[in-house]
Amino acid sequence: MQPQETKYPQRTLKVLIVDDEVAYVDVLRRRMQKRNVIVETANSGSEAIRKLRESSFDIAIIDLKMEDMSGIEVLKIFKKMDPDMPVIMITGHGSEEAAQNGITCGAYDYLMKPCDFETLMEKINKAVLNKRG
Amino acid sequence: MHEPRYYTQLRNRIFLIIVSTSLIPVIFIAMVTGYMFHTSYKAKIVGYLSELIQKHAQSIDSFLANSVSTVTMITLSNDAKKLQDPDHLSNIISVLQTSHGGVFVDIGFIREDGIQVAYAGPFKLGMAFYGNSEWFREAIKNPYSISDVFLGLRGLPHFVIAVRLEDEDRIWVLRSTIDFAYFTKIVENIKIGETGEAFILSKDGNLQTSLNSPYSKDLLKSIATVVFSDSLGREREGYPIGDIYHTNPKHSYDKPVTLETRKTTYVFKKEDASGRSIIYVAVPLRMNNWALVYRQWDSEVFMDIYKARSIVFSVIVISIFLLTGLGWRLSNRVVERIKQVDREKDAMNDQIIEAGKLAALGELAAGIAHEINNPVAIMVEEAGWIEDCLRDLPDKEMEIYKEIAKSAKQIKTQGARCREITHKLLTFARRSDTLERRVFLNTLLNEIAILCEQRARYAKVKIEKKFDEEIPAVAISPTEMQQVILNLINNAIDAMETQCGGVLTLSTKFINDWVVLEVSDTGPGIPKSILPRIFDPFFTTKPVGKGTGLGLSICYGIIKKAGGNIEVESEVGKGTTFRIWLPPVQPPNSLIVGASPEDLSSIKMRN
Repeated sequence: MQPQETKYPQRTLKVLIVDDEVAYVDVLRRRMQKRNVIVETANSGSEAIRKLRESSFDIAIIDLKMEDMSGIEVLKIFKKMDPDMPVIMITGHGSEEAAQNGITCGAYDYLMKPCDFETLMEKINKAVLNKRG
Repeated sequence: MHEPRYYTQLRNRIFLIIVSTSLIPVIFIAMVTGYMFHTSYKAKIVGYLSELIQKHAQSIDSFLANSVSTVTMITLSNDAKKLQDPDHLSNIISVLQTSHGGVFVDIGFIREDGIQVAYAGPFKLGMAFYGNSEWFREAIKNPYSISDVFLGLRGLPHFVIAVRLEDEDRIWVLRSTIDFAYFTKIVENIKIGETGEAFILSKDGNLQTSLNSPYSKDLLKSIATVVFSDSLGREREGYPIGDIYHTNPKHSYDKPVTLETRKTTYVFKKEDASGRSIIYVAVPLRMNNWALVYRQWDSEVFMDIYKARSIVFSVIVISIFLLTGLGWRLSNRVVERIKQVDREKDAMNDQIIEAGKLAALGELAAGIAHEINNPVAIMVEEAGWIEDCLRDLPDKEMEIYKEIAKSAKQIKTQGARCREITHKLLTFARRSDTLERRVFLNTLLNEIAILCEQRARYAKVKIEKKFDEEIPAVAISPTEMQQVILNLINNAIDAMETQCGGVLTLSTKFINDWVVLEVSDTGPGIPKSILPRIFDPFFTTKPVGKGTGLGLSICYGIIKKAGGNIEVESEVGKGTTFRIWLPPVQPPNSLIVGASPEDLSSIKMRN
């Protein structure tokens, strides 16, 4: 039995989640995999860059605040490596300014932690559909 | 605020600077002009006196010259034989006395051995012997001579005019006595003021006329020394008056005043026995080794100068008093002002420290919120995962399934609540956020009202909201606007707390293209007298230490910066209303563009 709350794109999605909060990345991975999404995770900026170099993704979700580099830096590098890939920023800082800063740097959207999982999935789908459409 | 000693020192310094900068020029000018006036006036008076005495000396000279020529005339018009006849002499003296008044007292004809062979006059001096008299020795040597005053055989002070005559192979001397009283009168005929007096001194310092003022032999001798010692550098007693001679080289002591008669005038000052300064003006007489001396009290001669000096002095004293008083008042006021500024600065510092504390607190809160957000996010997602997993279970009717689903939902709900709290905390912590944004006042007011509810409850204040749901957004920093509203609400609650509660009304309206926000209370109101000052910085009615007096002035600044206005209405006993006017984000005209018919109708209704 599959959750039917959202409509998914025809092809299987491939998502890269970047956050140094291991438990959070893990639970997101589990929930997405349950919805037939292929999930790659990275717990640091450098790991994320390596993963993107190795393969391509439909979308990336990046935390704003990480230990080795900031989400904005990762976003900028991602935009250089794959300008077409949409990126959604998530932040626990509650500062909308920083998140909005992400949008000016090319992010598709942002979400404040803790966010509703369904909202996140909606934004992912919208972003991917936009890109394809 | 500094210590009181600091302000005392500051005031003293300012006082000294004021007094010295204002007094020094006054004293300097007074001294310079006083000195210049003093010297020039003194020179003038001395010049005037010198001239006067010169003239007087001339008239005395001419009197003596006349007397000499009269006697000479007699010797020329009579031979020795005639003059040996006492009767003839009697005739001559009576003629002289009628023609010259009482100037000539008597007349005598003396042989070269000093025997007076003939005499006519009031005394019995016939055949008197003058061979040993000094005047006779002089008379024999010179064609004519004038003797010093002496007592002579008659025992009365007098002087004689003697003319030498050569006849019958012998030398004769015709002499006539000058009336001493008459001569003294001529000399004294120059009385000026109360203390001016003239007299004649001989070369060796003997008085030739009478002198009413007290004097000593030494004094007269010293005057004579001044006049008769050689002017070529021999040291003289006495000294010139003041420095007047130095200002005018013509009048220097070494080159004394000379008038058209080419006579030297000596002007000098000496102190008498009682210590009084007396001005002496001395002129040598031409006909004899005599000097005409004029004396007058220094204080009388220079009376005008001394008067002027005392006037200047009193003016200076008065100005010293005035300027000192003025300086004292001014420095006190300046220091009072500095004190006030320091007090205000201290209050400002307190405010800054307070703001810094709040900022630190905000940062801390932000940090905590961030730290909490991550675990809460994980918890919420895990609950979601539980729900995901539950959906895979075949039997959904099991009691345990329902319980787990309920629990997971509860976790998600509580997670959302945590999220609310942390987000609110973060929003309120961002005090430095002054960026203008579109702000919907109703939403903001609702948020703040929730924050204040607790306090209002304690103060027995009921919060009422009257919102116009269709007001447009305004452009202002949300944080600052929040600060303004919080401040007004807190003030209102403070006011109503004192009278055990009331109603706080928050309302929004749209009037004449302005968004209007009102915060009204039913508190005690603000008295009319202080109403105009409530937006002034540092104005507070709260007790010391309770209020900084900055709250309302900060509100005023924020609203003004946003292009709005804040006003207050208050009635004592009824309450106070603060009204804020803010411009909407877009002008109403542009709202119509692309607006739905509903929107249009609502705008029409408003207008």
